Amino acid sequence: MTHMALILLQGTENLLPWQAKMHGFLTGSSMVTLGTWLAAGLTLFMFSFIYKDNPLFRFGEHLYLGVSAGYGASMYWFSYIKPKLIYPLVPVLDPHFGTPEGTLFDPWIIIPAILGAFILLRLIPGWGWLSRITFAFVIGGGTGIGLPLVVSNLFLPQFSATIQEIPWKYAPVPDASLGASMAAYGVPLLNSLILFFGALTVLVYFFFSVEHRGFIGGVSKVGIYFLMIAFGASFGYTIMARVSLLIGRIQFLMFDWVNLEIVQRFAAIFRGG
Amino acid sequence: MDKVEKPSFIERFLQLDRRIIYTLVILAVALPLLWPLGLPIKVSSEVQSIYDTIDNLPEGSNIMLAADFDPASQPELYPMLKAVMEHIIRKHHKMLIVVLWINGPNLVAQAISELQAEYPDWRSGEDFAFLGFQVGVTVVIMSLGNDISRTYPKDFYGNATAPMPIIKDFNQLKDAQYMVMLEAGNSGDYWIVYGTQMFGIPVGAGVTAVMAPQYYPYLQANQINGIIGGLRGAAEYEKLIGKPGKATSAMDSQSMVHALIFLAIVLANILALINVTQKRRQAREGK
Amino acid sequence: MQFLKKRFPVLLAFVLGMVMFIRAFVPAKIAQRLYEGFVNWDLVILGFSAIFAILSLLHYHINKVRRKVPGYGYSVLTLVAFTQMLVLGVFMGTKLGTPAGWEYQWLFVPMQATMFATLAFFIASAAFRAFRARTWEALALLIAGLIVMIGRVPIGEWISPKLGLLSEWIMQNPNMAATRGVLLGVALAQIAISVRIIFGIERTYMGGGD
Repeated sequence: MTHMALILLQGTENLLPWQAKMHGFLTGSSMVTLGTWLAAGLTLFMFSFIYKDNPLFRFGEHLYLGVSAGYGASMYWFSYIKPKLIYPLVPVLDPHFGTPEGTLFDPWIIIPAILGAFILLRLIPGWGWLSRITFAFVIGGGTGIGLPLVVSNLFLPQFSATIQEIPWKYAPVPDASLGASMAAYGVPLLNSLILFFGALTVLVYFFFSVEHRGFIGGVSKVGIYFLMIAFGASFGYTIMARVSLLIGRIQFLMFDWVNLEIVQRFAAIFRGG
Repeated sequence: MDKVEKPSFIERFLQLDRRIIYTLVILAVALPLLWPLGLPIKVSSEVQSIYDTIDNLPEGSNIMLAADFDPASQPELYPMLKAVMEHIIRKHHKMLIVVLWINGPNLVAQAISELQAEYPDWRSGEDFAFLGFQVGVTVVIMSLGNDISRTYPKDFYGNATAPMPIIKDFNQLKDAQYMVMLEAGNSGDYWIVYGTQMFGIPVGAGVTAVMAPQYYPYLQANQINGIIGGLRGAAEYEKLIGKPGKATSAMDSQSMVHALIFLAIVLANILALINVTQKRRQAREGK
Repeated sequence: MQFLKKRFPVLLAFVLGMVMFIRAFVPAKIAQRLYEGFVNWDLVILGFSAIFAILSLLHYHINKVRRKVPGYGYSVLTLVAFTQMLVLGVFMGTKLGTPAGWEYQWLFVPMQATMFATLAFFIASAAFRAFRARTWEALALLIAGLIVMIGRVPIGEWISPKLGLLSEWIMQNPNMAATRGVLLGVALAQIAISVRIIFGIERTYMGGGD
């Protein structure tokens, strides 16, 4: 029990002999082959959903849920619970205790730890109200920090970029014809006006405090068209994204599972090469 | 008894069994992987801009790399990550790598070990430090602005960060000459608002194709200086570093599926229009 | 007790919000130390929200097993998978080369990647069976979508370089205009909600309960 507690609290960063052997075994060819077959099977289980919902897909879905939650919980243990909670309160448990790399004692951590524990009390009926104090702390303070940042780093740069891009003055291109100069001025002017009026009309569309009738209704309608173009562009890119993920899985099935050699030789026969 | 109208050929075609569509999609993906078309990839100005920035920085510059993605975005962002990291290694810049997504660190570790096999002189603690994951997106970014070694007392491999040679000159976000963020979600917005804008650090964004349209306003406002968008962007970067990889090999399949969906939508809309016109004519003749 | 339950959180949000807001304009060391202190405490608190999420998941599945609802066998699978992954991860580490790392590489990665990859099939099917331009607005969406979809891949540029240029123009102009409008709207909304939170008008973030 003591040995297990020590492993738990002091971590596994240092490779003990049995860990080095385990690392070698798990990265060896037999475990890689087993892993590849397992991954391929689970991939096909998940793909079976495109035909219809079935027990194989449900099996894969629930297995994924458990494995991902367990992995996440383990990650939190190493990246947060031990270094940010346990070691500052009990530094002697840190394997680097007594060295310059050891965690310093920080008793003040108990206050945010108690505030954090209030969040967990939401699961206990009658005690959930304590979590309001934590949320008030986090959201109140976070909002106070975020407000000037949102204004200075998001709103103002975006707002000024919309207006600054418009070339207010016509500047002819030296040694160029009038037509070329007009084109060199006209195209950026057109683009910047599209940008300005597009952003303005979209903002008018989202302003629901005024009824969208008459002039405002017309402006809002233009905004809708800009939004439709943006949604169309988004649609095109979304297709690109999803197809990329599919290509990744098919590449795995074809070249990592079925075996690159066999597939390539088969293809070479038909290529005549 | 009323005669039940049989659906016309067009109506039956428009309700084509989805299994046929799925089969066509699989063929459109698989066949170009076996028989590559070799279609040329043109590099866009947005990707070229990030490449040129990294290429023109003085040797030994500090670069912050945020790899905020998980296996769901791996096909798009992993090739991007490897290509960008390899470029940084070749230019002998210093790199700190952070991950704000909990399921991402092992993917980055895999990329690092693959690159270390190719560049054995590229050393952890001196040339780069992989800091791993930390809880709390905006808070971590703000904390990196103060003290990197306090935010990450240990790196991903369990080594203390404070004594590392790289941390001596690179212990705050403002010590970075450039930043590249690889984003699968909204954490890129937070990097800009809470991080790079505060310290005036130029930043390039590598994003999934789903997120790419949302980053153009930042590009136009010079809050980011380039976008590597999706698998196409990754393929462009691979072309720039002269090392075609998984992204490049996937582009032919990407082209074929896009062409298939393009034709499907156009054909379906044309047939639907013909169908509607026919029905209206029949209704007028019937009157 | 009513003060602690109802008034104190609102007062705390106001005080902390105002202090952190004013601190941004005070060029003194105390302001920087306040900021660093808050950020460090926030890091500790936010970790508990992740623990809460995991406990909620376990709570849901344990209830399903306890009440033996139809399909509770899947919940047993989830709980077993969670427990073994947690034990292996905590005692032997999560890096590649450990049992948890092995499960991450060969179970978690393929399953998560495949879940999102199946969407490609549904998009293709929906594009053919349901995507119809029945109004002018839908037509605008359709045309923009088609141009960007084909212009951003090599085959589009091979058919005509103009397709690539047109799709780039759409991204850099009308798309950017609309996205900027949305972004400005979001920024304004964030500013409005921040003010409402600090002054206690907006309290929904605190959650319900007694």
